[in-house]
Amino acid sequence: MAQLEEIIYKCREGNSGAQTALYRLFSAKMYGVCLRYAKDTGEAEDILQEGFLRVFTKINQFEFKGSFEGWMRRIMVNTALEKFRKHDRLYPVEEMKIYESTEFVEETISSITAGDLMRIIQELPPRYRMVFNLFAIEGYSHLEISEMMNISEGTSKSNLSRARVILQKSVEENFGSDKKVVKKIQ
Amino acid sequence: MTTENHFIDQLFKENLGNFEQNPPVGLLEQINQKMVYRSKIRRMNQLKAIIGIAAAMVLIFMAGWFTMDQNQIVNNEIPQQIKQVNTPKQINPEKIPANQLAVNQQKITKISPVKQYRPNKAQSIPENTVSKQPDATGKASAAVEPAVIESSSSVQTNESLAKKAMADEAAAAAKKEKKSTPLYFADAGIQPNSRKESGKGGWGLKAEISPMIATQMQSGAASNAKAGSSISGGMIASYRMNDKITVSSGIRLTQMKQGSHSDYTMAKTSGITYLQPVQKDANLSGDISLYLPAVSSIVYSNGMQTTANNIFTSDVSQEFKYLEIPIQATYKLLDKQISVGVTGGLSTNFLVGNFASVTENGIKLSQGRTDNMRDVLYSGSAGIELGYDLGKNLVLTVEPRVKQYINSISSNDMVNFKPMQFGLFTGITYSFR
Repeated sequence: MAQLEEIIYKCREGNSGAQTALYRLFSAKMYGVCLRYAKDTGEAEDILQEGFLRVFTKINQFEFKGSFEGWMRRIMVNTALEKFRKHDRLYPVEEMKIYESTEFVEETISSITAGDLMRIIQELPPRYRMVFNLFAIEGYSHLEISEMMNISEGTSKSNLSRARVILQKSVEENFGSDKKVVKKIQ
Repeated sequence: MTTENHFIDQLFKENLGNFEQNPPVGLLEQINQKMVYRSKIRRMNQLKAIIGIAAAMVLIFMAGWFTMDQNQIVNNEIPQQIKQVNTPKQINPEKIPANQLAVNQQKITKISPVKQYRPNKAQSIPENTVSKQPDATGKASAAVEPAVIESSSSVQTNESLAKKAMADEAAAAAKKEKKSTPLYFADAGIQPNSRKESGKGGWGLKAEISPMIATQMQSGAASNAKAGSSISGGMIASYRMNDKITVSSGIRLTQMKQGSHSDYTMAKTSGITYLQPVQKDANLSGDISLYLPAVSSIVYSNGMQTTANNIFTSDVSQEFKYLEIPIQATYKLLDKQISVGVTGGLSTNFLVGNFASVTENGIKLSQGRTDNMRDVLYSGSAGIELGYDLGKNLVLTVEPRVKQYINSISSNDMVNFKPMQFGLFTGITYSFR
């Protein structure tokens, strides 16, 4: 912990060695975050690169209140959101009523790897992917998501429902029928 | 933040919430490159802002000065005289004796544009010609005309006729002068260029250029560094405070170049390949980073390849560009067709270009930048300005000038180098007078 503080202080002075050390400490975790928000590895690399540039230039703003990893994570998420706003906001997304979610019971998920799930989540339309990540994994509320993405709460909810349906379908298609991973209960 | 207990949500959160994967190897190098690039852009933007503000201030100041110059003449001098011009309009000649009317006429002619007018003899002019003064004579004639008409109708003496003739000629002279003079100047009998012609005050704009010769660009003596030829040029605004002293400021772009043939080692840190001179105190201006990611070694035409920590000899050329903002003063020793003056001043120099390349027989093998260069340098300069008047507004100047940098161009403690440059600045000055 003390070592991290020292690295942060040196980064504030623009020390390139400290920046390298910080990158080595957090790049794998942050790249994991970026992959979830990106449609492929190329986009994830762009987000990671831009995110780290912001971390290095804005590290003076970190006041040692809360975890540094959480602060970096927020920067990565915000960078991904900004990229989405710039490039993907005009993509038409079908609006739908809130989907009455179907319940699933897990029998076994041992055969599904994180890589498989990453591939599935990357195949989601950009807005669904954003909303699902923010709600299901980061834990933001629909109100917060609506403010972050400049959409209505209802849209956020419907996007989440739609994302779940697509993800469920993908999981079933890839692992459900053959491998008996999940069982649908009416 | 809220969470919803949903199977799909749980499945993805458990598997991807703390998912880690190492990014591609070259990504850190790309980040470092972008950091360098962005800091350069940021520096350029700051410079642009400074230059913009400086230019705006100069323009505002110039505009203000010109406006003030004209307002001062109009506000301070004209109203008093116009007041006098208007006075005769209030005279009712029927209630005033003829001798007083004559006195009034004298007052009017005193403030007319041709106050130096002295008639040689009294002229006899028919009455009706007086009333046909053209409108183009302006306010002066308008003011003069009624008084003259009224007095001529009431007092038919030789003396008053002579006065009328004076008024006539005054009006005719005013009309003639009006063709080249603004109305208010003609009315008030003011020479509009009287101030500028005195030789005091006045702005000038100068474009200048010079070849530059620098002292050897090294901090020590045992090096094969050789200064290259470079150039400097810019735009300078000047203000002549009095007959002797002119102050000036503006923008100049100055180059510094050198080539060297020295021993180096190569090192790689944080993805950047560095070319490090073996004798830092006797060579170059510090380490050179070859920031192209592809560069891991330099391959020469004979097949020799540099490797980390091996000493090798190489040709390196370096080039720096500075944007100079000088503040200088010139003291005129002679101010005739040919003028001579001494100049001196201080400058702030902003680093705007930093290029370094490894060369072999003049061909670039790899390129990068010199490390640890200071972004801002201060310098002093002195010279002798020789001028030749090409016309009313143009002056050709030639100025041998020496420029000495006050602080070391490198922030590296091992490199203490304060170059001196000589230049022969040739320029054309346009004076706004």
